[in-house]
This record gives sequence, structure tokens and C-alpha cells, in this order.
Amino acid sequence: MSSPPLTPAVLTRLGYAVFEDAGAGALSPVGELPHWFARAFGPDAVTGGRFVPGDTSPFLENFLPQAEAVWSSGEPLPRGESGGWIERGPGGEELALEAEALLLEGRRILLILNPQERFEETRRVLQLARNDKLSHERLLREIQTKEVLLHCIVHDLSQPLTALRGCLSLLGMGLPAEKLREVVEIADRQTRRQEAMIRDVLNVFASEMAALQGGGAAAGVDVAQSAREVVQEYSAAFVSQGAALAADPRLAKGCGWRATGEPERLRRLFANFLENALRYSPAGTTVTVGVEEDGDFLRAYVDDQGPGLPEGVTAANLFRLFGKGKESTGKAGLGLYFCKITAERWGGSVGCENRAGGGTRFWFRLPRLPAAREPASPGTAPAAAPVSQTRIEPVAAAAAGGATVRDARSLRILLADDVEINRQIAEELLARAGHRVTSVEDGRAAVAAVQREPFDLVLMDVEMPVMNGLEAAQAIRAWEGASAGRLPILAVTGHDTPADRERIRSAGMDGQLVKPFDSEALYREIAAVCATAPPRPAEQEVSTTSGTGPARCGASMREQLLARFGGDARLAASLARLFLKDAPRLQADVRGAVDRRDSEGLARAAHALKGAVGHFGAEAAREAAARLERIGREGDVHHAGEAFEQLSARLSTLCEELSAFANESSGRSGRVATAGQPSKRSRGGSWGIG
Amino acid sequence: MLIKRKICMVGAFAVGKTSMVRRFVESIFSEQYLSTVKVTIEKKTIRRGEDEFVLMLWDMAGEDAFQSLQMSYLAGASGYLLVADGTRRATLEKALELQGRVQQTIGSTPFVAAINKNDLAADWEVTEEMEQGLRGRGWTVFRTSAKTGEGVEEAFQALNLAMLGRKP
Repeated sequence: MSSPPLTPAVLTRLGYAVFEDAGAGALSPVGELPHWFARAFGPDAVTGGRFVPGDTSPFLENFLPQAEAVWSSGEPLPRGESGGWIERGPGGEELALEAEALLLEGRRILLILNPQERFEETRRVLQLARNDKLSHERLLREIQTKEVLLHCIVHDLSQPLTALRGCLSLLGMGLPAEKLREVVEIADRQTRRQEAMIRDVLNVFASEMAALQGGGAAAGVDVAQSAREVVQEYSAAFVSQGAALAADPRLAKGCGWRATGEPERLRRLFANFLENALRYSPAGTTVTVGVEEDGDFLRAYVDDQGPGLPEGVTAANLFRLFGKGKESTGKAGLGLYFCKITAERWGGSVGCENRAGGGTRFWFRLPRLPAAREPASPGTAPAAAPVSQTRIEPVAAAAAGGATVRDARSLRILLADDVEINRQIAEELLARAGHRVTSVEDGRAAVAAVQREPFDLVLMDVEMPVMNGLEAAQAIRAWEGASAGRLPILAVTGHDTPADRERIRSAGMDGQLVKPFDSEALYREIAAVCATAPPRPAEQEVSTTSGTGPARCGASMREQLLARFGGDARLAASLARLFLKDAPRLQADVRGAVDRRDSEGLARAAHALKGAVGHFGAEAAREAAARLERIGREGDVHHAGEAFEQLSARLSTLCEELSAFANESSGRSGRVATAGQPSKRSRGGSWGIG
Repeated sequence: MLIKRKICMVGAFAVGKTSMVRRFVESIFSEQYLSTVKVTIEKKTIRRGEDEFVLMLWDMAGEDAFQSLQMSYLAGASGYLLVADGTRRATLEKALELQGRVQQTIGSTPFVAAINKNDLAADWEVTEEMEQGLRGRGWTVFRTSAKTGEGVEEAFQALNLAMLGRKP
């Protein structure tokens, strides 16, 4: 039995819409059209026995040239498929269609099929597969992000340890009460900083967990009241930095400024913005907190008068997870990210921009809620003027000398570190070793300093803004070229992998000091780097204070002496010799009073010495004497030992320079005085005069 | 004068091609992701001077391991919008690959690149340097957001200009 021929009538029965080419872009239906056809193309798509795809279906219109190619191909059984498409009918219904052109019994046939079920199934499977694929990609990105985040967190959490270990080293050296307090305060600040970072980490993780668990639902919170409370809470922190914190006067009348949120997290949101502002607010500037209406939202802002956002830094970058990343210091970069995810969870947003008048505005806005009936708490009205503003005196320089000084030479050291507290500690430790320190905050400033003045060593932090330590070392090496000698550069870094060491070596640095470090490690690495470094050019040795070799009078001391004595070098030399003759007795008087714990005697002897050194403009020695005088007057002679060591060191330096000046001015050769060497007649701290 | 143009939306899956079309044609946006299967055609008429352009927007299914780009749909295209997702670097690499294949199929047809989802700029993996790299190839590149509408109209207008033989 033969199968029935595949006629248009059969195809119609199979659910196809069957058309025959009618020329001029028109088609004629063959037989009855299926029900879906009218849903796809409208009830009037076929008019007068003609269907014109150009009027209703761009897809079919586009397919007709291909159909024509099939019909005209001359092949025995030509056929061409259009591929599927979605036709949205007049009622909005989406119908999946496919078309096919073929020659059937010599007739130019075009079939249209509606494989709706197959289409729906394909779409369902495809959707599931793609959703899974997107989830997988998202998960991979999150894992990568978390890995980098973990690295940043560990790095930043370890930062305060450097300062803490420095503080412990200093405490081990035995400090006077005044210095002791200062060191303890530094250590305390570092522990608080670390605590704040840990809190940030926990906050972010808690928020993300809440989001995963579908939590974080927020009722309402008084934004103005929260702002006022945070201003009060943080004003002391700003004061301690010499800056001021103010509340916008409008906060006082902000009764009923309620927004979606939750009090504790809102407070954290303000606090993170304020901590950010605190880091970038120079002394003498004011940070202002305010709230304003913004359509259906309330916008809270923190305005600072700092340097503003650097070029190229956008809000999008700042608020992303660890957005500040390694370019920034001291924070894990979670604080602003926390603000973003919190505000967004409450239906709000965050942002920041540079202000027209200078400084930066950080803001968040939250959906506004109807005002609560109860008025805001009285008595918390902010002041229009800054809450307070106090300048903090800079920390005094460290005392010189001491049991832990390791390096025999006094080096001129350039210290490059962007973290103030790290600089402070390193300066202290280096000064105690008798070195002279110049500090800068970034690599670019380090390069400029090296090009400007002579140094014996550079301590270079690797991760710094503007220009990092690696780039700075490369710039210094490039500047040195082949002729200027090689300045030892010691990298200071928290990373100690073989790859890190290779990067440091490739950048032209001579060694590395791994953070956190203690004084022993610092002195040891300095000694190691300086021992292996080739000698510096002779002209850079001139102003180095050294315990060996002939003393030279520094150019600045010579100028100072000549200026003080009317340009009369002979007079200046004569007076210098007089002082050098008298100084051992003056110093012995001070030492005797210290040994006897004679407060009055100490005050008297130190006062006399202060006056003597004052004639030569020796400010460092004069300060040391004044400190002892003060100790004597206050009766606190138990702590005079360290101050006396400091005085001795400074007197040594002064005497060496004065004797050199005297020798040079009188034309004599040879060494007149050896600074800092105890004479056989008196105990440590005096010096012999040859 | 009434001028009819066929524009194809080309790109990896889930980059926002359908959302861009809906933003351009209907000024609406939906957060829900619905895979496009095969191709859907939308129409948008724009006026430029005396001329009226009827843009037929062929929203083609995005390519991935499950569905490949149907090159036959490109026949007769006057231009195409090459779309990538700024938050997924791999989609930019896919866009580069697709551009090569499209050019092989229909020749040097005008196109404009749109890096979409700029509303999620904080999560972007596509960097400025990568964008500059595309521009360095002579591409016209827009940062777009179908969600906010940012850059969408501009991208289509630029493509229309390019199809007229003018530099956007």
C-alpha cells in the first residue's frame, strides 16, 4: 500500500498555515488556516485572499527573498527554513513560529508552523540552565572577591601591630613619665583602631548574612536625632586631631525626620562616614553633619574640608567592596561598603562628590517615612559653630642615646611612610639610635627629598599612595645613574614571600624590613644594609656626625656662628674655645646634681648650662638643658637620667662642631675635642678636651 | 521621507539586549531576566529632520553553550548593536568574537558597542583600559544602563547616524 501524497490539504490538517506565492510580496492561503494564525497576525491579516507579510510580519517579509531563492533554485526537492521567531499578536500573545519554503507538485509553497509547546519547553530549560550559569558566575566572582578581601583584612589588621611592637620596644627602654604616657596613648589608639576594623568586618558579615537570610527589615528611625548623637559621640575624636565637628543648625528643627532604617545601623552608617572624614581632615578644618529633604527621601551628609577626591576616584569605586583597597592605608575598605549595602537594603542609596568650595561630601539617602507624633528629644540641639576645636601640640622629639642604641654611626635617614603613627614610632626608634631622620609621606616626596639633600639611607615603605615604594626606588636608581653612587634603600613591607622579595630586589632596593618589626630588627637591618652598601660620595659625608675621624663644622653651624658674632670668625672661635673649656664643668655640675638627686642643684646647674649653650644658638642642646631644669624645678629627679643622656648627646654634637669651627678658624689642624667620649676624670656624659 | 532599517541586537546571553530594546521602544525596564529564544522583532520610529526612520529591532537570542547565534537572522541588516555586560568581563570577550563572526557573515556593516549595566558600575569587571582598547579599534562605545536609561537612546541614535554613513 502506497502512502498518500503530501498535498497542501494534508499539511493543513497537520496544523500548518499553507500559502502559495501570489507574487509582488503577497501570499495566498491554501485551504483553511489554523486558529493560531489570527492570534498571531490579526483577524484581518488575509484580505481578498491575499496575505502581505510586509504589512504585518517583518520577519516573514525578511524571509521572502530567501523563499524566492528556494523556489527558483531549480533543484528537484528544494526547501529552506527560516528559523524560529516570536510573533507578538494584536492581543499581546507571543507565538513561536517557524516558516519553510518548498516546491510541492510544482507549486511555490510557504508553510508556517506554530510549535508552541516545543518552544515553551525549550525556553523553560534554557532559562533554568542560564539561571544556573549566572549563579555559578556570581558565586565564582564572590569567591574571588572574598579571597582578595581576606588578604586586605589581614593586611590592615596587622598594621597596628607594627606600631604596637614599636611602643613595646620603647617601653622596654625605660622612659620618663611624660614620654611613657605618650607611648601608652599611641598604643591605646592602635588597639582601638584594630577594634574598629574588627567591628567593621563583623558588621559587614552580619549584614550580608541578614540579607542571605532575608532579614534586615527596618521600621523607622529619626535621622536627625541619630546625626546629633553621632556628632556628640565623635567630637572628642576630632578635637584630638586638631579638627572640629559641627552639626548643621537645621538638625535642631529636624523633628519628625523619620526614614526607613534601624537605629544601631544608622548610627554605624553616620559613624563610618565620620571616621572616613576624620582620616582626611587636616588640623584646623571643620567637618559638618547635616540632613536635608530630598523629595520622597531624606538625605544625610557629612561635609569635610579635606583635599577632596583624587582625580579618577569615583563614588562607584569608593563604595565597592574594599574599594579603597591597597591604595589606601589603615582600613580594610569595608566601612563605605557597609554604608552602601545598608542604605540600599533600606531602599536608599549612597554617594560622594567634591564640593564646589573644596572638600568632599559623603551622603546617603533613605526613603522618608511619615513624621512620628512625639517630638525629638530636647536638649540635643546642635551648635551652629563647631562643637569644639583644639590644636594638639606636636609630639616632642625623642630623647637620644640609651641602652638599645645599636649603630655606632649617626646616619641621615630618609623615612618614607604614609602612616603617621608608623613614622612617629620609627622616628623615635631611629632618634634613640642617634640617627637624624627626615620623614615624608609618599614615594614621590621621597624621590624629591633624595634629589634635594644628602642621605645615608632610605627606609621605604612599599605600599604608599601617590607613588609606591617600588616605583620610588626605581626613580631614585634612575636618577642616581652611574655616577652619583648608590644610596642604600631598605624596604619596609608587610609581605615576605619570595615573590615580594624579588619585586623589592628588582626595584633596586638593598634589603627589607618586615612589618611588624621591633627595634632590634630595625637596627639590625639598617646595619646590614649599610654594611654592604658601597661608600657614599665624599661630599655627603661632610655633615655626618661621627664618633671617629676628624670633625668638620657643618655649613649651617658656621653660618650661624658668624651671624651671631657679626661675621667675626676670630671672635666666634675665641668664644667657642671658652665654652669648650668651661662646658665639662657645667656638665659635671648637672651630672652631680642628678646623681645626688638634688632637685634645686639640678635646676640651677641646668639653667647655667642652658644659658651657656644659648649663646651659640644650639637649640637642641638648649632644649635638653631646659628639660632638665624643668625636671629639677618639679622635683622629679628620678627620671632625670634619660634626660641627662639626651643632653650629653646634644652637647657632644655641639662641642664637636664648635671645636671643629675653632680649629678651622684658627688654622690649626687636628682634633680639639672628641664629642661624647667620657673623660677618665668623670663618669659617662662628660668629655675630655685635648 | 520614510526610511526602513533593520537593526540586530547581538551579544552574549543576559547582557541586557531585550532590556535595551524595551527601554528604547517602550521606556520600561523589568528586573526579571527572561531568556530570549530565537528572535523577537520590535519597531521604533524616530525622526531626524525631514526624514522618518522606522527601525526594526531584531532582538536576537544571546549566545552561550546552549544556543548559538543564528547568522541567517542577520541577512539584510543595516547595522547592529553589539552589547556586553560591564559586570561580566567574559561577555566583552564574547562580543569581540561575535563581531568577527558577524563581519564575516554580512561584511563591514555599521555597528555600535554598548557596555550595559552601568547602574552597577561598582561591580564592573570591564575597566577603562578595556574600553579604551575597544575605542582603539575604532569602535564607537557607549556605557549604557537599560535600568536607568543612561546612554540607551544615545547608542541607538549613534547607530542610526552610522547607518547614514556619518560619524556619530
